[in-house]
Amino acid sequence: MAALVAKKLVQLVLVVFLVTLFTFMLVQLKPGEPEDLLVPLSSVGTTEEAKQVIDEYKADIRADLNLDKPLYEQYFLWLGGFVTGDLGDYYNVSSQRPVSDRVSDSLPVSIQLMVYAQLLALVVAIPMGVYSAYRANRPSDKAANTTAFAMLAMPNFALGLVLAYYVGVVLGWVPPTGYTAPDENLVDHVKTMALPALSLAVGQIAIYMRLLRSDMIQTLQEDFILMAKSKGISNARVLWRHALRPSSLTLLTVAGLNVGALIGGRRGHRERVRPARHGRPHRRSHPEQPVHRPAERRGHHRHRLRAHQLLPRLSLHRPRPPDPQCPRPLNPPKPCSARPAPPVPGPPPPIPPPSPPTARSPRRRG
Amino acid sequence: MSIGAWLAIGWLALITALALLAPVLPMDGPNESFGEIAREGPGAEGHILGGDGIGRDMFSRTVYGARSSLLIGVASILIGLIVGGLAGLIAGYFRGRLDTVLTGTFDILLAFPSLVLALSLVSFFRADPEAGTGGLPPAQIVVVALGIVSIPILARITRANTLTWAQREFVLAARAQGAKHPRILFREVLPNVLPAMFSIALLGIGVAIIAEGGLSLLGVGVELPTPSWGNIIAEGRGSLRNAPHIVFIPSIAIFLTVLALNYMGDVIRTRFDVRESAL
Amino acid sequence: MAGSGTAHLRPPDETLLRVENLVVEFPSKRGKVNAVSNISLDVKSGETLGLVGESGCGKSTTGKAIMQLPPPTSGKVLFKGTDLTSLKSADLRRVRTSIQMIFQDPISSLNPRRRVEDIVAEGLRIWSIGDDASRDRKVDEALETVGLDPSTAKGRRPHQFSGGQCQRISIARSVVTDPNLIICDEPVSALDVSVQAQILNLLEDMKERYQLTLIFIAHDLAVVKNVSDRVAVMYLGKICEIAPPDQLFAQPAHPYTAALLDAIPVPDPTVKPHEQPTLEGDLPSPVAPPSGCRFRTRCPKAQERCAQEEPWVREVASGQFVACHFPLVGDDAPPVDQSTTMQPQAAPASA
Repeated sequence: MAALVAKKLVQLVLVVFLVTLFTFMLVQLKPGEPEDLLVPLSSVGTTEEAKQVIDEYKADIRADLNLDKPLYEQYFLWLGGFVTGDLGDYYNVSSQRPVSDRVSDSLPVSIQLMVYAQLLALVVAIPMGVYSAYRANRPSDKAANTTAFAMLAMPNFALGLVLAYYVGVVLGWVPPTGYTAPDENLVDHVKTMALPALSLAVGQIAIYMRLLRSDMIQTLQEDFILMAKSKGISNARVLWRHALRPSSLTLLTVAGLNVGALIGGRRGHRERVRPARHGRPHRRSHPEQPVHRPAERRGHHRHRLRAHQLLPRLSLHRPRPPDPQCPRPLNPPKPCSARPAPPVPGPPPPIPPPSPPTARSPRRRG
Repeated sequence: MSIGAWLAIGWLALITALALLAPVLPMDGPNESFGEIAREGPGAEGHILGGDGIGRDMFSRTVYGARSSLLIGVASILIGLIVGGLAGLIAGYFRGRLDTVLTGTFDILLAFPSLVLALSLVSFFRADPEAGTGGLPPAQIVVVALGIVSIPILARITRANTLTWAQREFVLAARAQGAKHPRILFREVLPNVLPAMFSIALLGIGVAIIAEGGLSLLGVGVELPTPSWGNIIAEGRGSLRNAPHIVFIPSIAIFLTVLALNYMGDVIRTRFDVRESAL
Repeated sequence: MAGSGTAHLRPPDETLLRVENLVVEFPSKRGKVNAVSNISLDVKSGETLGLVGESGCGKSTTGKAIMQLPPPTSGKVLFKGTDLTSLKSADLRRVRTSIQMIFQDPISSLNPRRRVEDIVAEGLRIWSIGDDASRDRKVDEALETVGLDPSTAKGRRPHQFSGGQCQRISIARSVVTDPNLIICDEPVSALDVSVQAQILNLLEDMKERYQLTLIFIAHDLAVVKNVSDRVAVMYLGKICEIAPPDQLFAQPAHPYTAALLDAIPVPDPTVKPHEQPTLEGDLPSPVAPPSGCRFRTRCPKAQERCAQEEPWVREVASGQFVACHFPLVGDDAPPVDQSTTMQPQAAPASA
């Protein structure tokens, strides 16, 4: 047992190493220099003096991010920082904060959302799966299956928008955006988390229900079920007490994997991708330099963004919606126009990450 | 086949036909702007699905969007199917060290959240703005990125199925008759693995269409003004309050298409008895 | 039993196939699996060799090792004087057409996605034998001789046939390239008893018609008795006894053979099955086979010597060879062991 755990741990470390190395190389292979993106060419003017200021600033950034060091050193500096909890700084065009701050700001909200989504999915999927296995191939089962298919086919980013519009705006039952911490106001907390959790859960419901159904159909054909029935045990008891537990192994495995994927994957990785290319920056504060972004650049070069720059800058390029829709959970808090000032550090309630993994996750076990 | 299957086929045929015939259909161009229908809902005169935020015909944009979205879905999965399928076949048939290396590579690729991987790949393939070089057109970049993301998934499915089929005795019989490995791989094993690959590929097309939408929402999908379902939704998001149909119509199109693809994938799976546990 | 040795082999020039000291080992998670341990066999042209033993004794592995699928760990496989283990893959592929296999599972041995015509013609196509028309004729002929109507069968796929019919297709596939030797790996075990006889008769017909030599692998002694010219009994990767079937059935020399024969149900209500001694215990693991004679853990006659010394194959009666220190026929093995090359055995298993 200990040997197995040790072996798995070694594998895990190896995979983490390769994944980070791969990410590092991927960003590294990209042409161009990161400081050029942090300091747009035309931002301060074209005079000699301005150019000199820019060059100095760039050199500053390079030194700060260890970009002047050899590649392997950059990687290991980052890796060393990463394992000791120093994730480097998060660069925006005008500011700089430790990445770990951003992670600790957003991680609790992510975890809450993940837990709610998984719980909701299981609470709906288990009875649905049990019932449709019990009524296999009857009309009610077929209806449940069709519903599951429909749920799988919903793009969850669109579902998030649609729910935010109907339930939030048209019906006005819950605020369409915003986040309230549970210790602040529990009712509001539930209200703000309901829609994101639901839109994340929908795809999972379908997957869980189908997994449970197929395992349960097999279990129900086993002799011990026949035995239980022949003893006169009620159908409900046979289903819930005798058949459910032996049928739930796959379901629980996949649910467990999803929890891991949701915590580690959806947000954690995003935060990690960026620092991987920057090397380990020193923690000294950066000379705040007002960087003016000319209006004509906005929108035009959206397609030229790079991954590490993409997320923070998106908010600058996107035409601001007139309503309180906050475009992305990944934006730094400030650009959300309709937010009540800046004090709340947590990110806005995520429009669910539009990632396909809902449909993929079960296939990852293999 | 059930009614559902016929409906699914019907919808896929309709949307494909519309997408293919878009240039010759009697409708307004996707980028012609008609001020009077800006934000008008479905039913506006001469524009059955209304207009978008700046008065472009929603029907036309949705049909042209289908062109981009379907093409991206099919082309990217084709890449995954060819590369991943071949790698999976080889890994599952020959096993041994080659299998270990390939499976390890797939596992590492799978360890990335797929959207993040797609995002980094897109940005990787993009030309550098300062250097001013060309690079691939954005739609092709999305295809390549989503194709690469789909490779490990399709490879694993193919490998799992190949493993079971390669142990059947007819493979032994073929070797006893003196068949070479490539012949066995493509004539004996592949035809049996194909249904599983195909049914997953159908699901994959759906996932890729949704993923394109996700990338569009992050601003790295198909480049405007060429419409795709994803970027119509992204554009319409801002006017969700006063013109929700701009988001809803392409969302419904994605929903129906993915539903039909999933349904067809399931029909194939049931028909050819593809073991779900192998997935 | 569990004996090694080559005393039962006939001069090489008289035999079509001669297997010497065949060893097949697989790596597994629990250790090395000794599937086949030092087996020697031979078959004369036109002869049928029956190979019997419990499930897991290495019969099928032996059959596949002869085909070099996969190649054995060590030992020689001489086919028409050529050692197959030394051949390069291209030459080996060519030789393989002269040796064919028929498998136990009629469903698994036919590719469900191909038509019968393609399945049967595959061997001809691989080697580009004849043109399309002549191949077509050959396929028709092969299907007819196995009792299938070519015109209706050719276009169908295997799942449209019954198990017996599938086995007929397998036979047609294996004879179409005119092989010399066919290894039948439990060809009737998966079939209904009523169909078994038909397939056995068909194999006999095929043997005559195509002048085939057969290796017939089975766990059913009654089946083997009817088709074989010589029967080899295997236990846990070793040979126990080799003899003509009538002799073997009338007076088994090895305790294991005797036990197998006793286990055959007798269709006579006056015979009480439990009055006869039967085998006790399970087959030991081939990962850690017993020392000395591998059968000793279940043998009623086992003595101290059986754990120390591996018995060697020797002739105890005319044409009857046995690997046992204390056989039921003939004398006990001479006390001084001549087998100085006795191979070391793995750790002894507890009885």
